[in-house]
Amino acid sequence: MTANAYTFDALCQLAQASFDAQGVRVTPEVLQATAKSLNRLALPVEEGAPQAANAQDFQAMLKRCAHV
Amino acid sequence: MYELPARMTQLQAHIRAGEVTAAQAAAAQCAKAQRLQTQFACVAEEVSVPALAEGPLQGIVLSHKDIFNLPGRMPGCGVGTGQAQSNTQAADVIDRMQHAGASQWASLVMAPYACGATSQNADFPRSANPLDERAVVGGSSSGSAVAVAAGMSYVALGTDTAGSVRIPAATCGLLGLKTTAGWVSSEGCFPLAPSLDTVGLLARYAQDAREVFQVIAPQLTHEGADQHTRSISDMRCQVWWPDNLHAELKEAIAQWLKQVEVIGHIDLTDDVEKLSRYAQCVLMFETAQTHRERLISGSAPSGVQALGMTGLGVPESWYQQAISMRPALLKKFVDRYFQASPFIVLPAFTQPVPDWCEVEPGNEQFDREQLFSLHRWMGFVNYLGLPAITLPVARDSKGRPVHVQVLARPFSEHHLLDFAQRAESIFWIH
Repeated sequence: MTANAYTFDALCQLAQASFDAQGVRVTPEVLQATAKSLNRLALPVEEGAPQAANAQDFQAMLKRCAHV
Repeated sequence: MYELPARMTQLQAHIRAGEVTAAQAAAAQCAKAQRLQTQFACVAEEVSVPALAEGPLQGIVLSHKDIFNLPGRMPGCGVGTGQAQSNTQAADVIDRMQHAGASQWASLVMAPYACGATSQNADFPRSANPLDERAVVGGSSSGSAVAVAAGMSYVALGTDTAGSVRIPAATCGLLGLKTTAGWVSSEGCFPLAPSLDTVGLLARYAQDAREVFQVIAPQLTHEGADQHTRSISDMRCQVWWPDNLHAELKEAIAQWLKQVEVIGHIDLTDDVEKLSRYAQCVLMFETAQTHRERLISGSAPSGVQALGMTGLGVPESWYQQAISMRPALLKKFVDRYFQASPFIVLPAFTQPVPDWCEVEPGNEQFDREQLFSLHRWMGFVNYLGLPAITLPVARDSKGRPVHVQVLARPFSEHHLLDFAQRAESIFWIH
């Protein structure tokens, strides 16, 4: 699996931007702990662009996948 | 007083045959549950939810996780007792149970807001594992597992967002069924992460579980299931042996597999690793949205606070990617692993069932790896939306249950119950 390509500083910036978007102020300790969690969570780079799928698409796929 | 049989289906047969009336049966179940509740501490609150019609569950009295709206009562969700509210309607699954003839005796304790892999809950006494009082009771549907294992309820409903039905079942020697995403209505059920939340059930016997499953998912009959998936009359499965599995578990499961039709081995390591990240991303982000006000005010229980605060820091673009990739990754997984056999078998945990003190943060014996062992191979199944069942296959050297997790294609719950029913003849605990 492809490892994530984020530096710790980049993860801190991502987390800070997310907290800001939520209107949440956090301490530097919380920010760093969140960045560490994001490092474990960082999603792999998938081949090709992600499809714009939603919950309805997922339910439809569940039904398709029921069939052998 | 009428002596209750071991199986719910036997009691149903006795009622149908007129050997006992529905009222006598109900009285016997309530008396038994009442007698046992102080010993096992799994009841959040006694409730009185009556049957509303005659049906297949007539005379059956069950108890369920305290996460479902009841008529006139909002659930306590593991952070207190329920609140009377006259205009509250029963959750869809509770309503279905009532119309099938079942009544409810109690709402059962759970991890706060369904966020926790153990029964740890500062607001309630610790539930005792009926198999071994030192063993952990898994969560979050902890009271459901204890009530069923103690014989206080033949079947109990729970919810499973990242293993919350399968984990407690696997610590108490029970069958734990997680249903296909979106198939059983969660209307009237307090959410954690709605994209991953599913209603499930815990039972001692597969046929008992099937009786209740047919009530909460009537659109999927046993016969109808065969139209969606191949008719299965055996236990053909592929097995995944993770590298880091405890030797005692591997030996016990390998012995059990000798009596199951294993057609091959697969390596899920990379896929599970990747899918678990997607699952965790969705879980954290949606938990943060569900509990946003509590998180900001600092009033959320510690488990919710830990998960949710990270969720507030998860970039929305990551969450959107996880949601967008879900159908494609489901198809890829099903195409890759369910072509050769209808079932995939993997261990439920990486380690034997631990002592409760080893998996409760704050305890001096706390071991993070032991806690991780309980939920490590659960969340990816919720992300994929697949049905799954945990079932006992052996006892370990301490006499605690060893469970496997069995996965199947979407809407294959009846086939999973068939599998569990056949497994009962190989090994069963209760």
